Amino acid sequence: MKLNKSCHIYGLFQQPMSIKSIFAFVLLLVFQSARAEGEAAPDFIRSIGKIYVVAGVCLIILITLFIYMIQLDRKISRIEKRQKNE
Amino acid sequence: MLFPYVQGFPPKDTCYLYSHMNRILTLVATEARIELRERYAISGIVLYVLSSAFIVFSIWRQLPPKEWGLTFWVIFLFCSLMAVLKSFGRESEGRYFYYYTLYHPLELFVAKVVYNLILLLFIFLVLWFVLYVMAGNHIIRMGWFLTTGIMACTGLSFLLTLITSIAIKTQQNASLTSVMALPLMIPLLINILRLTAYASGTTPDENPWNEMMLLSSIISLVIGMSLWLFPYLWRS
Amino acid sequence: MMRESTTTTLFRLEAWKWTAMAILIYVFIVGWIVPLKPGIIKVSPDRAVAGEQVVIDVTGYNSAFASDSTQLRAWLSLAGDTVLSALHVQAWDDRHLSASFYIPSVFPVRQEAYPLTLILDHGIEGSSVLPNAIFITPASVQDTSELPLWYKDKIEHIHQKAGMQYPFRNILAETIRNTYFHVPMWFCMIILFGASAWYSLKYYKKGDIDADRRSVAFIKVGLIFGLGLVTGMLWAKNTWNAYWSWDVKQNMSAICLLIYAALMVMRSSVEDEMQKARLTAGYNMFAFVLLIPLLFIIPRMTDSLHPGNGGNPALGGEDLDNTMRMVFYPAVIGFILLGLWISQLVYRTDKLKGNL
Repeated sequence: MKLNKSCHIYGLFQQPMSIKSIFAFVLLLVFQSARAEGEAAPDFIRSIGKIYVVAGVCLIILITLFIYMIQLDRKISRIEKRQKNE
Repeated sequence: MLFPYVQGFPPKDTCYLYSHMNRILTLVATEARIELRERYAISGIVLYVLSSAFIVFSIWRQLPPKEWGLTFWVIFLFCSLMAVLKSFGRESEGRYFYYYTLYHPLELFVAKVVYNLILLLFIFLVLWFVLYVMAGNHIIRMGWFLTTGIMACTGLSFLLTLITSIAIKTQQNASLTSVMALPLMIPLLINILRLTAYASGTTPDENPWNEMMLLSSIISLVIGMSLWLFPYLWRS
Repeated sequence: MMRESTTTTLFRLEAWKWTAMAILIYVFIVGWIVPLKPGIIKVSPDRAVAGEQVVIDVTGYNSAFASDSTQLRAWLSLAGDTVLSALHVQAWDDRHLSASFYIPSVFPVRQEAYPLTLILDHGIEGSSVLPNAIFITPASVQDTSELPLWYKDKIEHIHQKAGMQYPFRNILAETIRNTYFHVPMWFCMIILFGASAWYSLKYYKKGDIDADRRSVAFIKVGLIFGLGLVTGMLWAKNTWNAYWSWDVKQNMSAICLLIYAALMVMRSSVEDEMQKARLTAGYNMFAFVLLIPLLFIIPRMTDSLHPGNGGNPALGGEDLDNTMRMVFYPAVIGFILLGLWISQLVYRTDKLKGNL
């Protein structure tokens, strides 16, 4: 008897669905999605699967290397200037 | 080729090694005599240990076992830095030149290390006593803690002597010694802290032999490297 | 004719520099454009009571639920063989679907709470998994006759999406791409410091001031590649929720930087050139030898948030699949070549400066 009951619950949607059960399902969904909307949206850097973190990391690497290259360039220019003067 | 001076080893007459030992011991004795002549030097170290321990404990008031170990080694580190720096900084340029003509760098180095080792062991025992009186003893395994302390003193005296000998060749030796030595001490310190945690029974880790092996291998690395590099760095 | 000669000199470079550029271009392009496998970001509710029917809303990432909703299947799994199949799966759009499950009131094992893993399978897009998606609290009335429900279903015929994708990991999401940009920084730093120690040894043997210049150039550029610490902090803030979490590998790289920064300070406070070079060589070799236990032995003995903690500091098979290897290894090689290139430039500059 008990086994039958549980099988009935379990197979609720595997048997041809009654209109009533579909209605209950949709009602549950509406209720839950309304609750989910109250949550705060993720901040900018964590949006789209945190892709901006990757962008940030690449930018840090590139900017640091560029700054270093600029410094090196200026150092070489200074040496060239000195060489010219001599 | 690593030690050009000791190339003749093993010596044909054992007197050779004996004379080395003798010269080193003479140096250590001279060093100690100078230190003891200036009364304030040794009492200065004791006072330094006392006052720093007092400051730390007036902040902490009560120390749980884990923090006891950490505090111990932090105070010890700074005291040992100060002591080693002082023993080097005392000497004038002229005396170095005098030593340089008389002794081989390795003899000088070993003498310095032995002297600093005695100093560090002294600080270790004083500090242990002070903390014992002030905060109670949290060490369950005395033998382990003592072994750790002796090993730490050995490693640190080699490391600090080498780094100080580099730093005194620069303009600003006091700050440079700590800047150069502190990051290098960290591998030693990590193992020492783990062994101390074992000695005070605060870690579930019941197999301290791994740590001990690692610590002794790091110390032997320090010893080997410093014996190799000191004669090279000492030339000027 | 003039123009011709300038163009030929402009593009005359050693082959390895061209290789570095080509590899890095490949890494930046492929590292960015290859998509992630579909994943599950969120499940709500994330708590339920056993013995009841539960409808869960699933939010997907990179998913295409709507495109072929007939083949969508969902399971909740407690362990390998204890699986519940979804009673009904409804896709709303590409990113959202709902699935209903009946959670039996008894469990095959006894625990405080039961974390269930959600598994989705899509006919084209392949499968996606969310571990610990929903926590089940035990029912007040337990019906032992429901136990067979756990063993009724099996996860079968899982689809695999064709083509090249990176795996989706939950906390990481797209930041898994940082493997190609952040991790090589560390490799590059170590290689440069190693090269510097090598040239210090050369200086020790020959006393050639040129070797000293090279070794210092490597240190300078190695310190620049210490920016891996900064990129790591940005990544850590958004995955581990703290810029600095005293992780063993963070500490070790910080110590590494401290040591070499101290070396540069020491250099700047010595006047005599030969003295400077000698002290640098000595300290450099001493420091590098001491770094070996620090970088390669101690991390193996400590737990770490970084992948491969406790026993294996290298990246294990689970963190780096074959697709990622195709980009990761070139990235490491490319960044190392770039580091060598920059340090060569620094060396040449210093040499010019010294010769004047």
